[in-house]
Amino acid sequence: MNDRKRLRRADPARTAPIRDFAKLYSRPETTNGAAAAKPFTSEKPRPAAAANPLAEGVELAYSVIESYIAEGRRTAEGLSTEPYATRTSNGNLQDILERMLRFQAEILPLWVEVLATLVKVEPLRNGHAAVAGAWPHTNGKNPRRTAMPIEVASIRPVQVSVELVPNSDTQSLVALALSSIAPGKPALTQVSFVRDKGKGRVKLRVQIPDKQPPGTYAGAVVDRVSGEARGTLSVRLGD
Amino acid sequence: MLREYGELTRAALAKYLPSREPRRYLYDLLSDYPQRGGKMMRPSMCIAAARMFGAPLENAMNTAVAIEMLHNALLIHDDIEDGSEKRRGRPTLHVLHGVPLALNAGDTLALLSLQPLLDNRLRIGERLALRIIEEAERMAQESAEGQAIELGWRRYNTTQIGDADYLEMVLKKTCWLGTIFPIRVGALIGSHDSVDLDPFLRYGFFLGAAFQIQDDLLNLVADEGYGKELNGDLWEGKRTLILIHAIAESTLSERERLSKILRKTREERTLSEVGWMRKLIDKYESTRYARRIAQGLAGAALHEYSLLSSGLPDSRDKTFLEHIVTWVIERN
Repeated sequence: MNDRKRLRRADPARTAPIRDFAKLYSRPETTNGAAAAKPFTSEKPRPAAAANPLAEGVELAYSVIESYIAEGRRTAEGLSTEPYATRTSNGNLQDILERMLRFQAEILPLWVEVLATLVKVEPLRNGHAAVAGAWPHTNGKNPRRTAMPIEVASIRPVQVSVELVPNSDTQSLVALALSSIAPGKPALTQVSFVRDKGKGRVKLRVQIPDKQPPGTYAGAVVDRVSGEARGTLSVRLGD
Repeated sequence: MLREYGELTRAALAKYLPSREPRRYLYDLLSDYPQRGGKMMRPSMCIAAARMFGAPLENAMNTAVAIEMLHNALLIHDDIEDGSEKRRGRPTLHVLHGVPLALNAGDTLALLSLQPLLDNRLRIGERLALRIIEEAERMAQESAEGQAIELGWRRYNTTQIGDADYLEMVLKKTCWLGTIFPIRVGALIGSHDSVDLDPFLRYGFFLGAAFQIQDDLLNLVADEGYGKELNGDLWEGKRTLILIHAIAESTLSERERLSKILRKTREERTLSEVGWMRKLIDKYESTRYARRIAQGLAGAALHEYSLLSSGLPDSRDKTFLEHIVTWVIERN
């Protein structure tokens, strides 16, 4: 144990960098930290009123914002040091495709958007299935993934999601009317599984009436033969 | 255009306010401030910035709604923290319903403002929607820091504040939500995130700081139409540029008296003390000083705007964002 009295330096008069030349030889400024009020020690804290407050104010404001931006850049540089693999847009197919898609989304008066043109029917997680008690367990096996195209006709943005019991027979699926929990909203009835002519597979077709109120609509997917539930379907309709 | 974009935003905002129970204790409170009007400067700037780049109005609407919702949420909190009594010409929400219900309503409104930002995914795509949420996160942090700085100054009776300290506080507290965020996300939407946003930071800062100083000036001279309490900032002991100037110019004895008055709570402060502070401000022409600074900042905003908008085609939105600068310092 050292009983010697600890040496203590006096607190520095300046607690922040002096950014303003005009204040270099005036009283120390506080920072934005919560410095408590100190007793006033001089009759005049400012040497004199600013001769040209407009010009000096603008100069001061520029120094504030420039140091703020510089601080932001320094912070960003500290967080991200890897140079970006900057691409040129000319000739880059991915970039051109992105721009085309954006352009299409903005100008088409009839916005038919298929957010998930190819829905992968994910296997339900065991934990979820056990809690819900509605779906058969997969016994640890990785069930076959089923791909199903979705066709959406709507003047407004739509997001469609389907969850089916693994290995469902897509040929016999029927979608019941999709309802909203919000009162007063009519159910979505024009939802059906149809055979895709030519390709022979089944696709989901969703038609949204123009006056359908925005919101989320959900319903069950059942097997046409057995009448048993085979999954859920939800449609989220934007403004 | 403020009226046009404001009405569109207000209509879109109403759809995000639930109309179910408990109405009396929550949802009626949420819709109170938005229904009182307001200038709608923030959402209008966002929409105009997006349109200036050629984006359709609808692409910016969700973000404009979120901005207005968050603005109203923070107004509720600000009124509680400042002990304000009037907002947009009527008693503040906590005066009408008490602090706990008002606080809860402010929290709810802030949380609900996330929904339109999430809905952006459907309209402008996930990547851009995420960029806007990133900007919103930064804005929220900057605003909270600015509010903390100002509240801290009052809580610990800090009187040695310089103009640079004031501008840094305003940059965070007022400018980020008021002007920087709306103009930056508008530009993000309009340009598909392909422009440098630093020039918008400068323009937003100069414009927002000029706006705040003008707001502080109006607080000392405004009539009932202003919608806030006359001399409310002095009653609340707010460290405005005007007060900071008066403190700096005053004599030792005046500053000692000022410090004693500012140390008091709003309830302890008397009418004669507020009147004396007001006389001190007049004595040192602090309003004139602040007005000159505001004019200078408006000029800087116009300069920055001319730089950032020079390459864009002429449009009413481009003109609007230029004219809003002079409107900010000439409004009453």
